[in-house]
Amino acid sequence: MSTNQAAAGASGRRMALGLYATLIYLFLYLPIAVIILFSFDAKPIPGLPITELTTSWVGEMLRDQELVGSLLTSLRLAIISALLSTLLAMPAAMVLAWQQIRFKSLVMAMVLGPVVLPQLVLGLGLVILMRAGPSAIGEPAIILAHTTITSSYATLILYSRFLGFRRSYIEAAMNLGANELTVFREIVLPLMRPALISVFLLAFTDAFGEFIVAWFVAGFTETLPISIWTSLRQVISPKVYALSSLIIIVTLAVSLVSQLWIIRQTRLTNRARSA
Amino acid sequence: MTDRPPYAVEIDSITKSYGHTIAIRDVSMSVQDGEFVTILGPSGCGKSTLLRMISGFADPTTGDVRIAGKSVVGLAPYKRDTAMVFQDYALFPHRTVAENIGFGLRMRKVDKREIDRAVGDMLELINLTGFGNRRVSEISGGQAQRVALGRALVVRPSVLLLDEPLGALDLKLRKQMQTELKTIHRELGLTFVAVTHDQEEALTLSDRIAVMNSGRIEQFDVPQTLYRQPATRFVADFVGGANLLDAEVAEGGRLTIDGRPFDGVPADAARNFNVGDKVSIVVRPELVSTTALDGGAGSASIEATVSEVLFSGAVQQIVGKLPDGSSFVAHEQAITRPPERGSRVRFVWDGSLSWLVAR
Repeated sequence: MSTNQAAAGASGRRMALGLYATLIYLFLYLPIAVIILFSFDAKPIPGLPITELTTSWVGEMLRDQELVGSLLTSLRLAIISALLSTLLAMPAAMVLAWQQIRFKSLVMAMVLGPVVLPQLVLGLGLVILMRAGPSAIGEPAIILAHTTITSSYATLILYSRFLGFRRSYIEAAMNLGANELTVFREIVLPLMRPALISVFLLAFTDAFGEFIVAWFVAGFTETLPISIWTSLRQVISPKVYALSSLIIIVTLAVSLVSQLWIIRQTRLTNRARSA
Repeated sequence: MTDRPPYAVEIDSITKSYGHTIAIRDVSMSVQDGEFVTILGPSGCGKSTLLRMISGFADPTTGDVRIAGKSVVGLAPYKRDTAMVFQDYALFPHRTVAENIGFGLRMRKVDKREIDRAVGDMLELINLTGFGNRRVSEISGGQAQRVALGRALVVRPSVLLLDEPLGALDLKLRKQMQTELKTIHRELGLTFVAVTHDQEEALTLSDRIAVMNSGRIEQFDVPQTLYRQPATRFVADFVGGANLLDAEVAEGGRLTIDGRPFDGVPADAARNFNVGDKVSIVVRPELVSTTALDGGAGSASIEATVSEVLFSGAVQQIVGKLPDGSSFVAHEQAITRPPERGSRVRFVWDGSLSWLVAR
């Protein structure tokens, strides 16, 4: 009888755990699900109850020059910012991880600054700075701001990856006749590629969606978040929901594929490690 | 006639310090061309630092390192004619077995077809023909060890450096690789310099062994001499394990232990010592056997209480406790019945095989 009780207790616990997990995922994905649902609502002002479904908003959205224009602007700026911050973060992370430097923890803490600082403060600071160079307001300022924000955690992520990089690979290559540049090209870069790509993607998604700081320095540039924010003041068009759904689906797919790829790559290197 | 310099590696009175800590103190050693030399010592004795100074990953604070007669101090690792087998093998995980082996030749801008041929030959030498296209993650530990060896050998270095080459292998594989390594050394005639903390491996593989302790070379000699005539107490203890009886030299080369005369060791053994010198008598356990207190077959003997009897197949280890608390060990062939634990026995040996070291 006591075994039955124990079994009942175990299955009860399992059920509770299942319920808890379901709730968490609901909490995380319900807002996203609502957006996707509303993008198929036939009414011009989406809302519950939904009586009729349509796919026409996707077409409408693609024909909206302003919306598509801001989407392309955001994509372009985010790619540039992510590229810049990855390129900035990599050498910094290499030095932090591989060189003996004084006051390392202080340096590391200061690298983290732009992440922990309220973005409002960062935005204000940039506005003041831009007075010195008003011509940079707009796209250059947005790129600058997003590179600042993303390069700080890009450095930290890459730092931990470089810390875990086996130095004997480098020594083995040098020992076999490869100079510093060749070692970087033949050994470091290929082995760090998964980390670099994941950092680039993270910086890209962050820069793509960042609104507050961009808002401060955008001038007349309309990124997608700014354009959505502006449209919020009027009635939210179903086209915005359609675009958001598209972005959500593409982003989730990209991050899923890249995560799977990175896990696979890491597993391959790890297996070689234990050999 | 020959223009090959006599020494493949010369380490000329080098010292290495990191801040206030001194890792290597005035070490000199010369490795002859084609020799297999092992640097043996406990962890932290400076042996790896020595190897890193030959390979170029560290430079001496003072002194000179010469490879094939030329000073290499300050020369980058990739400009030195050395190749190293790393302790963790450090095989490039993003490259195949063949690409790993060919890496050094590719860096030397060797023609592609020539590389393929050399890699094929090397795969045959290390018994891995057909494994060329495998990923490094798809081979076993023993195979990885051979690939690491092949990758270093294929560039035909002036000196092959081996950092704890067999340390990561299990016992059986290690024994097998010892034989293979020895064969490869003989067949290629290259100079090998290895580093290990495993005295048995050092004795098996090397032409000569340099025993290091806290930054110094205690003795650099052929294995037999190292084992039979250790220069210091440390060498006696570290290489092969030894019973060390603390004694003093008296008149006429006689020995005393705790003031009482100790007979059986010929006076000739003390010829390098003066009266009053504090010495240790080195007695190898395999030369010792145990008998009853009234029996006796060897010229030297000491009484002790049996504290442990350990059976390990061919040999039984009998550990005795001496009056001063130290242990005395006999390795007997396991053909006789061992004495009871706690009984008093006599440990006997041929005193003429004993050796004295200073303490």
